[in-house]
Amino acid sequence: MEMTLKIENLTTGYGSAKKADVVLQQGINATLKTGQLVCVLGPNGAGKSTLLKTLAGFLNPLSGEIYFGDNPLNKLDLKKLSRLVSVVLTDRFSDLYLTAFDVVRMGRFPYASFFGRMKTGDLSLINQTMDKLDVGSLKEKLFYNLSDGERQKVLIARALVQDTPFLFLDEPVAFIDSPGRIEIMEILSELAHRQGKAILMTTHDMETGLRYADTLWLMHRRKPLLAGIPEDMVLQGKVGEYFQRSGLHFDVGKGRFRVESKSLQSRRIVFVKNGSHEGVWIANALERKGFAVVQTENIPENGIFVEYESGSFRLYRDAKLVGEVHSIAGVLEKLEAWGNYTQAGK
Amino acid sequence: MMHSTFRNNLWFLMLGLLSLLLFVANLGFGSVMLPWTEVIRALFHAPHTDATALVIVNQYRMPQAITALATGILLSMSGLVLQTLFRNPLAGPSVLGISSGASLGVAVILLSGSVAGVDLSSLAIVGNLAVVLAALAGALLVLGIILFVSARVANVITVLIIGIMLGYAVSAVVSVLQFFSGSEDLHAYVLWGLGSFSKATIQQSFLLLFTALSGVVILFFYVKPLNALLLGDDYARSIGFRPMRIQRVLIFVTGILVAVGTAFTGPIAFLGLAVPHLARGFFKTSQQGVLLPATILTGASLALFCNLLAKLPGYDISLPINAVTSLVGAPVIIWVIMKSRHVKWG
Repeated sequence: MEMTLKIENLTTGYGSAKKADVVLQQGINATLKTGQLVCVLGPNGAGKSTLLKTLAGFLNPLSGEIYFGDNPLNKLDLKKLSRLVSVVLTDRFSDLYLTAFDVVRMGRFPYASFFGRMKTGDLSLINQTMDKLDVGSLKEKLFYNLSDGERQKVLIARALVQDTPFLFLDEPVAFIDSPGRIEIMEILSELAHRQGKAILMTTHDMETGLRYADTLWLMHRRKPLLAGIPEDMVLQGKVGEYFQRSGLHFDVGKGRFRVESKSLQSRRIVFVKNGSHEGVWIANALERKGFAVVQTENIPENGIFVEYESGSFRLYRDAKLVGEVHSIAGVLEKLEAWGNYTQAGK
Repeated sequence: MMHSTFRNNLWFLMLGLLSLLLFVANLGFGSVMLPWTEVIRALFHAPHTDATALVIVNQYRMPQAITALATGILLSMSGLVLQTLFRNPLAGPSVLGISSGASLGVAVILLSGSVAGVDLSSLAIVGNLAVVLAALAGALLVLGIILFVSARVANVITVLIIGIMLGYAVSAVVSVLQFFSGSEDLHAYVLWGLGSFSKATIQQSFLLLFTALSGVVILFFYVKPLNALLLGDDYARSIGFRPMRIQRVLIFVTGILVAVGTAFTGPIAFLGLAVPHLARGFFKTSQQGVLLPATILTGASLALFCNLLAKLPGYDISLPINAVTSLVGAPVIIWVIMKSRHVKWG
């Protein structure tokens, strides 16, 4: 079923009867279509979760309109909404004996009878969904005892059995290790692209957003929401702009931030032969240690040069071979030992 | 799944039989030793039954057993509902300040004589019924304040805190009244505060049982919403429930139950807090549809058991019920917590 979420001139924040409204974001305009994975990306405090909660109907918008298809959100009752939008939240719940199955089962409540009785169809959907997300074996396990990654998958299964065209997830990959993160993002990609769900997820993890989002919604406390495909946003410098923090510099080539070189001139430059995995990781280690790294093909006449060949790292100083070690730790040790050597030709 | 259903049914059967057995034991044992045949004859008003036995069984033991049964049911299930509602394992019937309210009402009746010079307790109307009505009035006053407040705050935890604070404030007023009152009145008040299942007449005990059973029926309609609340307000909303409305209705229902119970028996400590934990320990589930009947049966059994202990069969004196429920309830909670220490409350 094709469907579009349309946001028109939305203002999010917290309303209060007595005090003035706390406005988080103004003038939000965006659309989310089925079959699309949208990442709401922005630094902490940008109002990502507030936006998600407003779209899910948990918070009232301060102004503006939200449409699911042709229906304005404020005209939808909770029953109808529960068949349109399912959520994965960061809320913690703590009941002692809540099993993974109990949690997933609740996703089926909008379809269950008054007393919560499920049909066999509901149960087999729950079982299938849990098996598909690889949490079928955890059914009888207590939710409390699951790992963060397992919990997240159980929560996603809960949202999936709710069988809604829209799936909103608040920080689904925070606190999850990188393999788990990739696993969850692959699941979400497949849900959007193969099963045609409209997925909206917030994240402050740029790497995840840049890698998986069909569309990024960049958010910043004091900037308007900006939508576009991740690659364009990077090349136009928007990602850098929205995450800007003094002292940090967005590396367009790598798609990540690094500390702005305090003063590049005074730092020692190391030339690294490029083109191998080892070259990449030597550069990583050296940059961490405060060296400026330049990747070249040939041994320069002046300065330090590191090259890797068949199991050993060779170090050259002013084009003369001065050492050979077998690990990057060894390279660092040598360079430290040379102290404040600065190349002659600088 | 099949296994746990079988296990649950076995537990229900055992608890049901236990309640029945304890109810019968409550009729059979007391400070006066009666032969079982006499007890049974008295119960069925058989001709030629000993007149004393007839009075003891039907006018003393029967109302007491019914009162214990009804109080056990209504306090325990209120405790379960409030623990689920406030998502707090230490919530119980006393957290809403309702039993303190009842104490205030009774204190005003019993102690006002020495404080204000108008000796209400010497007036003819002050009997059992006046105390009941005063307790009910005090409890309902506090419940009214709680409901008034809960309609004006957005967070159920705020209601919990206000309830506890209200309880302290009301107890303080009672302390002031106690401070200024004479020793005889004070003694009467302290006795009331120790709780008793033996104050209610047979009619009152049936009224109590009717209240408890009405509560059972109403709460069974709230099993599904209570389950939904286990995951928190936002998840509940996302599957089509209105958490605030459910919370208000359930605070009202449990409030009335506790108010009526306390009016007839005085404050009964620990039952409402301990029994839901016992039921969870037996059934190892968080499903309210299982826990509600489990709590009802466990509560009935434990209250009847405590009453039996308090009667100290074979002795003339009987212990205050509050002391017995505390002595039984506190170790129960400690046992449950120690037993499940591998799972933590989050």
